Amino acid sequence: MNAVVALAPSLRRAGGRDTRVTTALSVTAFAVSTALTLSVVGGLMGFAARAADPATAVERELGMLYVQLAWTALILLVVPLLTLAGSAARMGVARRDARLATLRLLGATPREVVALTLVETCAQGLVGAVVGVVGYVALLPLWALVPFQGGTFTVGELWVGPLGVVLAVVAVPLLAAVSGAVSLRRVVVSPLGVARRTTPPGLRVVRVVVLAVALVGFAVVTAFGGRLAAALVAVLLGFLAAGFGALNLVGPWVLGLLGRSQARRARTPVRLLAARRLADDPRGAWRVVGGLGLAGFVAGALAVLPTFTSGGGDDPLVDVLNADLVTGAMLTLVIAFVLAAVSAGIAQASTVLDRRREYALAHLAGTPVELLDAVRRREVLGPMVRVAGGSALVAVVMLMPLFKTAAFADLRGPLLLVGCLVGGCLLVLAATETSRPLLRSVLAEPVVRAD
Amino acid sequence: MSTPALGGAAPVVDGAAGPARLSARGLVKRFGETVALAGVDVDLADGESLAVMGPSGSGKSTLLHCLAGILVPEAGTVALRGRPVHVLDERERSLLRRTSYGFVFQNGQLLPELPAVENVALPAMLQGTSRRDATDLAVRWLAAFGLAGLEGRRPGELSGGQAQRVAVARALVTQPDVVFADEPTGALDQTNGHEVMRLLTEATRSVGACLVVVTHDPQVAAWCGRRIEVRDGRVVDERRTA
Repeated sequence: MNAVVALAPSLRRAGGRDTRVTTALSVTAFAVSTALTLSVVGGLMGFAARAADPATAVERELGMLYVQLAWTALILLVVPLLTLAGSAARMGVARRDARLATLRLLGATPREVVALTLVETCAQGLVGAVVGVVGYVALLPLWALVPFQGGTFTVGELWVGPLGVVLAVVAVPLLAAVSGAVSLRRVVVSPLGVARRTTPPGLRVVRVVVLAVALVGFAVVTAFGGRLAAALVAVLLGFLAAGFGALNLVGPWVLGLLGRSQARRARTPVRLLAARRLADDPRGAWRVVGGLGLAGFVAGALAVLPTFTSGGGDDPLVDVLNADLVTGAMLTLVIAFVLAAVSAGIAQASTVLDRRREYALAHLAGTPVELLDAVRRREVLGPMVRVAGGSALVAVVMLMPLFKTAAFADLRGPLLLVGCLVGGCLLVLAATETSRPLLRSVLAEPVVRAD
Repeated sequence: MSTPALGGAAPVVDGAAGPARLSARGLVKRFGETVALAGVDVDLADGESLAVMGPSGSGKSTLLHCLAGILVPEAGTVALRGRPVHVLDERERSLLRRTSYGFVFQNGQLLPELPAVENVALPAMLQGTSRRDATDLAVRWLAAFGLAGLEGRRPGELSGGQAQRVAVARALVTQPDVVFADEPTGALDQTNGHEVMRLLTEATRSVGACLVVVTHDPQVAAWCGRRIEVRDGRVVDERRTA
């Protein structure tokens, strides 16, 4: 084995408590994303199996529609799932930067530095995937209680099979390795790359153009393509995925703009610090609130659902479909919110550890802990409210051509939307508060030398 | 709040006799089995500058932290203008550090996401000064320290010497009673180190503050009016720098 790569276990142990905390957080994030991905894929496979071999009228008549809806849910959740896994991979890297840059200065090659990181990140991904599979198996009885198609799924129907498990155990470490390698670019390019922080380059306007094209495309196709409904489903799903992907591209750009704007107008230290941090690292902020942004997108779509489902009439099949649409949407939303909350909690804990020296010195100089807490809270809360609301608005705009103004004829829609957003925001806020004790413990550690 | 009127380039000699602004008696502090301070007495008169010297592990940084209310001594007293500091709780000591003290650390003390002007303005804002006034004040301090035109640069875009001058401006912007500097030139070359010490001592004196500098470098200590030598947690030597 290469001498530098052989150092991996020693370097990990040398990291002390920080390394143990970040490793635990990374493994948790990988585990949650693995468990939920397998759950969603299991549901999709369950619907597909029923559609292929229908046993009831609902499965025979509407089986393929359910499969398409399950695909939609998967598309809605794939970005937050990937974001969470990506955050997990990046988290350890931030703390490893200094050590790895030192290795570069000592003469380690870029390939050796990358290999060292991949060994650590892959191992975390592997452990997370295994824990995630166990979590998925534990959740199966719970998913089997959820009513769909006039009954419930059996555990066997939601089981992804040995192949699915093997794929997850292989794919998650690979994904972790790719994310980790991308995050290491700065170290690889220059050993001094992480030693100095400068004004970050702006994110390009082209991201807005991508989102605009996806939005307009979706609206045009839904408005004028009614007669080709069956053929258009795939196109619509494609545009939905593009809109979603574009939202992930535009999110950091908008947050950067928001941060700079707020920093100019800030009148208090808390507002100024929170705004500067947002402007400094909009991608990092997006990793925290992006999941909720995408959940907001789901909630926006959900807002028009009561109108869609109110026309059941006497057809029992339509009644079942309507009930399942609400159940499926709520399930998707709950999973998205949970992902967002886990993402936010883990990212905040990681931020506290990454900024421990800044926090500690600011505290020594008399900065009250309450102010540090307020900044930490505001860092999440400000972007979160805007991102969740903005994403919901985007979803409503995209779906408006489909449902016209009738979408808001029924007040249940907007109420559900507001309720979901408030609930989601509170959940994420609660998750970020879990890093509060960590901040206290970081500040309690002596940063002074016994000199 | 005002900005300093700086001039001159030589080490200064001060140490006006008078009532102690900062006074410590019989300080004892242990870290586990290690005795960092074993009964230290220190007095600092108005406008006086003091260098605390000693080898690694001698207890000099612990002394600074006890004087500054960062650490609480296990025995002994610390008083600022006659007011006991060692009996204050954490919240009160935090307030004291924010309002009455300024700090200059070796490096890494500037907030990396804030431009220079906001790093300097922040302590004033924390004391309730409006952002506009705090910014105006910070701009004047930076100009007085030869940093005009660099207000918008972030710490990563400044040289080590420039960043340390920003740190000195930040420590003084609130016109504290005492400025504590822990190895303030430790990360700088000799030229930049001398420049930072010149600004630190002159600006501290110009706002009427006391200065406590922890250093192992005799050339840095020469900028202070008085110096003490700490070994094994005790003051073993004390002399004027003149």
